[in-house]
Amino acid sequence: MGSRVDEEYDYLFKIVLIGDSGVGKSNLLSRFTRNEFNLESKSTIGVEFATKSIQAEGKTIKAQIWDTAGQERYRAITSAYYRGAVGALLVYDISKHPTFENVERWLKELRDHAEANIVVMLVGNKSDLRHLRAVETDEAMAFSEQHNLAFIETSALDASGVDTAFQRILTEIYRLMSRRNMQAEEAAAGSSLSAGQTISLSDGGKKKKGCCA
Amino acid sequence: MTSTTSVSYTAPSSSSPKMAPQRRSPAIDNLTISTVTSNSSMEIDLRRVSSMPERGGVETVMSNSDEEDIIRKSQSEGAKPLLKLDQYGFISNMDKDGLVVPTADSQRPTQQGKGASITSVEQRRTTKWKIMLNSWSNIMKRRPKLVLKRLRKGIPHEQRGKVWLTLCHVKERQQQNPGLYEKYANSKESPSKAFQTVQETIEKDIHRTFPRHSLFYDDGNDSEAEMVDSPFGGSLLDAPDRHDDEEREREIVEGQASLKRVLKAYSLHDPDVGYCQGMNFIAGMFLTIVTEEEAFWMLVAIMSDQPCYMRGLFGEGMRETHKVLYVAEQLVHQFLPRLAKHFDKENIHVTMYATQWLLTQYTSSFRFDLVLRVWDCFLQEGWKITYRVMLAILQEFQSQLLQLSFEEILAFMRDLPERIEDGGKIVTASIHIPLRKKHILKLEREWLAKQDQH
Repeated sequence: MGSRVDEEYDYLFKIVLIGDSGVGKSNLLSRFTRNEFNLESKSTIGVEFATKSIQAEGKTIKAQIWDTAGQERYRAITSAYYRGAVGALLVYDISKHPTFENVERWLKELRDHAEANIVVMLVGNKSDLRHLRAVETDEAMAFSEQHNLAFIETSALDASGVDTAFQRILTEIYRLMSRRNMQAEEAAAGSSLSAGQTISLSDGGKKKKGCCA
Repeated sequence: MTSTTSVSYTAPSSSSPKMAPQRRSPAIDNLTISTVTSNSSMEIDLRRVSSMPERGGVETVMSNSDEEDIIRKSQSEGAKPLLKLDQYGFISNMDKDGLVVPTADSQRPTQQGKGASITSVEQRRTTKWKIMLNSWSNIMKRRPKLVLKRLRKGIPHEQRGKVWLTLCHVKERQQQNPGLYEKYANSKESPSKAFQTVQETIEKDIHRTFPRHSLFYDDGNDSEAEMVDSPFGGSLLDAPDRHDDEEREREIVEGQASLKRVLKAYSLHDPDVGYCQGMNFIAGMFLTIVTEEEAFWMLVAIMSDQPCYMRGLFGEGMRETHKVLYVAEQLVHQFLPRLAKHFDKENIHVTMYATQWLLTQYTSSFRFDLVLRVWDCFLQEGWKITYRVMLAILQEFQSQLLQLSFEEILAFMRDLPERIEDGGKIVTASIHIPLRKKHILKLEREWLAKQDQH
């Protein structure tokens, strides 16, 4: 791996932030990792990266989060970053219905390029824009149930739901991974996971970090 | 010697035309500059500015106060904090949350002036460029190397717009296509879904393009926008007849409206490319130097003509972006092998840090002292300068980068543009990197061959 361990953590999970342009992905990331919100943030070109560690069920979990450009044609560049990701926050803007309609296309994108067992959370961002709401919570919730996704509404601006969103997806990945790992151990009575590795849900194995094509 | 300069000016009484290609001769009838040297204050009447050559304008004034700050205030001074602008028009008294911090004259930090010697160098260069521009086709034919040498030293800011327009053959393009820009810019939205999608994507980026530049700065107050004027890229005056057209929550400032029209016009001119994120920074940067229509024709030139030829990067599939990133990765390995080895070990790939550098030719995140120098060369010699500057930046920070791990490297790269103290120095250093055009061509062929294999 070649990386120094600068801080202690038990697990390292790679997460991607995807969704249409302008839904607030970069601000969700900066709110979560640095508690910052930038009203005049610039459009993301390519990919951006940040990390943060959280506590879940007594373990320290470090999230390696990749923020991606939202415009459709950028998928040719950003989809390489789905590889090895164990979680995805699929973000739409509650005040712009088309960004919700495109969620299906993003799901297909994940099916095509990401690990089969990636945990996906649907995130309705900009919940502070109550007077401009175009996507009802019920509608999004029904959609997420139908597609077996976790769901939450957030506001990167007033910070509501942001920590919860990341906390929930990371905890869920951890639980899933532990369960899988346990099953694997029972089945093979074999190798256990070593701490400090990026976990892939599909094989429970070790992944190189920062991989890309 | 410490000195600070403040400029105040008021908007003209007449409203600007709907599209103002000649808006460059700014409305500076009431412009005054007061230079504060030590404790004495001197007021310079700058009414002469309005009679200066088109693209000279305020930049001329600023070349005399190179390192000094310009304070802009609107007519309704008092209600709003003063905007303190750097020499390229960026607001320097803005905190990280985008709020303008009031700077009373007395509290303003004083800056070190560079002294008279710099000014005289600048003046000598300006004279040289004026002479060159007067016999351009002749000098390009006979002494192309001299032109390139001078481009690499940087065009004096006052002359920059003129030189860029000449390099991009903007006048010829305009003459061959009279009225075309107006046609595109004023075209009513067609019902086509594809067209609408393009316009929506553009719309999303308008507020996210240089929000800290005075031309694009939105103070969130409609009425104020009508009273403020900027010397950078022209009037911020709101054309009253456009009020009804915009179905927006609030009126956008004129710079943003110009950017939107330029990008829309380009998307109509080149529907195969349409609009791709990243183009906003390039077009926005042009608007800080030349007029709206000129910015459009410059965009056409750099997208579809050699030596820049950027449309392949931005089109569907962004095919050539992959090519450029491949070439960049190989060059890092060849020119900075130690760093490349370290990056390989840490799984750092060029796409993780250089995509936006290369795709936007540094416009999206670097300061304009670097950006404009890159473009001085890029317009004439194409991609060589782009790769050279990438290598020069990495070289500059190599010793630090070699000490860092994966995450630290990416965090470092995120803040890297702010770490560069002198962008001009980086560009000057980059010229000495022994990268040849044939070298780049060879790598491009390599990439093509790999594509055929797949």
